[in-house]
Amino acid sequence: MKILIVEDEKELANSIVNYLVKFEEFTCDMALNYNKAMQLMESFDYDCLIVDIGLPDGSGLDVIREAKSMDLNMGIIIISANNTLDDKIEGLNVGADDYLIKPFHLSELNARVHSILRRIRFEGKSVIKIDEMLVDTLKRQVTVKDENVDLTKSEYDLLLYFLSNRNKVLTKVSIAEHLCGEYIDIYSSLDFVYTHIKNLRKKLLDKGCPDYIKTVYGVGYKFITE
Amino acid sequence: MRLLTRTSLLITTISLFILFIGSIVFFQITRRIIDKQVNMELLSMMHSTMQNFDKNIANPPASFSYNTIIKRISPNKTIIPEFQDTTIYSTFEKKYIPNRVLVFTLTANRQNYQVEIYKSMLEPNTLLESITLATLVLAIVLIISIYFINRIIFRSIWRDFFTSLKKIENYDIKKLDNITLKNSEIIEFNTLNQVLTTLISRIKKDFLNLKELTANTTHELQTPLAIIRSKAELLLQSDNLSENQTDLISGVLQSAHRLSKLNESLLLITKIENNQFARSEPVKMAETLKTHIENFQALIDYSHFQSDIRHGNIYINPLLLDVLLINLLKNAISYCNKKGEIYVNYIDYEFHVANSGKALEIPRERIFDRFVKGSENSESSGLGLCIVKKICDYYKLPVKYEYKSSMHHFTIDFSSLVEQLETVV
Repeated sequence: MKILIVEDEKELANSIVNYLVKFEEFTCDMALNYNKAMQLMESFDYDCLIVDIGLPDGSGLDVIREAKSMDLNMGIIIISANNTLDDKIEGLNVGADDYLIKPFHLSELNARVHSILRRIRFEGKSVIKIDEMLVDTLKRQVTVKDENVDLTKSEYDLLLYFLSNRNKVLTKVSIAEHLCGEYIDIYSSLDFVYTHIKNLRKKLLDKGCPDYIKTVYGVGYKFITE
Repeated sequence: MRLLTRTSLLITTISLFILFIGSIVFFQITRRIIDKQVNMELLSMMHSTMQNFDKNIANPPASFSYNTIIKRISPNKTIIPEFQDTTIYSTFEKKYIPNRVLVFTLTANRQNYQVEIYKSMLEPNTLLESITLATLVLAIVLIISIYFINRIIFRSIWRDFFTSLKKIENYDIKKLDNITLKNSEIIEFNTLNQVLTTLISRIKKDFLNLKELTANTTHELQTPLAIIRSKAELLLQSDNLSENQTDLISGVLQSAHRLSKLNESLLLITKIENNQFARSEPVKMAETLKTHIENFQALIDYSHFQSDIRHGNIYINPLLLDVLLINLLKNAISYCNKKGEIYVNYIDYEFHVANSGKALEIPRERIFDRFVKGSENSESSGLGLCIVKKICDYYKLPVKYEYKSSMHHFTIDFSSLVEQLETVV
């Protein structure tokens, strides 16, 4: 899977690339401006485009329009510091699949990339397989050894978030935001994250799964598959 | 005290005082003149009596005319002529009448006579009374006219001043209108208007600069913050981190996260103040509310949660509505005690959220201020309710806070946005 990151802040672009290439299936290219982005898009095929709207020599929206006019079948995620509805609507109108507001968690961006790629590469029929656990992302169904695991919506979202960020440390805040939306900033009651993880872990253990979810002391959790 | 009242009062008091003193002086002078006149008359009568008096007469008459009395007195006694005031009973008017008497002595045939010449003071006194009365009437008329003249002059002279004052009173710097003050014929008012116009334009410029600065700063801060967060997150993914190291990184992450949330909130407030959310559209309130409650459901498993939501569309900017509802729900959840209760109602366009919890430690009227927070929630930004208030102010929505029967109640009446919806549709 090839991903193009169009972001004028070199440091931020580097971070994104660094995070994403840790997943073996991803290779990343980086463009710091509009021209470079156009060059790369003409020369290579990408599965996913992560694009900032404010570029020094053009608009990220134009990059998206170009990509759409070239009829490239790729997922597009806008990352923008502008949190206004108009920008969001315009971005989605020109053909972006998702809109993420800066600053964001890299794990959240990664989860969105995975979700989009699942949708466009496998027409949503993607089934994630980990050992004996099968996650059908279309039916939103989890089975272990052909046995259905009954998960709540939050627990399912949590599991999918973990699966997208396998072997990565996920902070409690990023989990909380993933489950409840970006506006959540209730630090005093992050206990609910613990509650959901406890329930999910118990349900998976009950069906005979190994204990995938490890606690990283003081920070968050990690889903270990190796 | 109003300017007009103050001037009228001062002018009236001063005129009254002057007229009072003036009347007394006038009265005294008149009385003296009359006194002098009477005395002169009496003296001239004394002279004519002396000249006409026959020095050799043995038995002078008891009186020369109706107003003289002659009495024989001992030969050794002489009286220096002197004026005396007395009253004489008048049989005609049947009352005592004030009189002035001039007493002197005459000698005839080596015999001394005491002569008394009377002069009625009735006439001069009546005159004095009339004059006093006339003065009083004049004084009252004068004061009344002064009072009204003052009002008329006041109105015409200060008119331009009040026009300017009204304009400045109604001026709202946030609306960024230009202010034009009418030119006046009075130099001082013109100067005042000029000074005010300069002052306002300077304040406006500063206000704009400050707004721009806030907007730019908060906006520019987002990128470095995003970099800090992403770097820390990457660092967290490194292998073989010690517990101490992850703890440090987690600290950096948390602070960066808090800072970015704070920044976001400030940016939002600035945007609301800058009217950057002008676009409104019809919103299905019930659906929006239900979505947010669902999102929060993960958080509020442990609270007793009840909601009653009826349909009722309103005309509002959807993003602002989201922010408004999320902040109120978040507030209810943050300050709800464990195993507490939360109620959310939306009935007849009235949104009501209540949560059980301890009474406020901060003054009630400060609940919507910036950076005011309940002590138990030290990590909160203290901006949530401020944002709620800003949004409500923006749409002129009445927002009410109450604490009764151990529950915090917030009520927002959206009915004013319904009418706008009808005009749009």
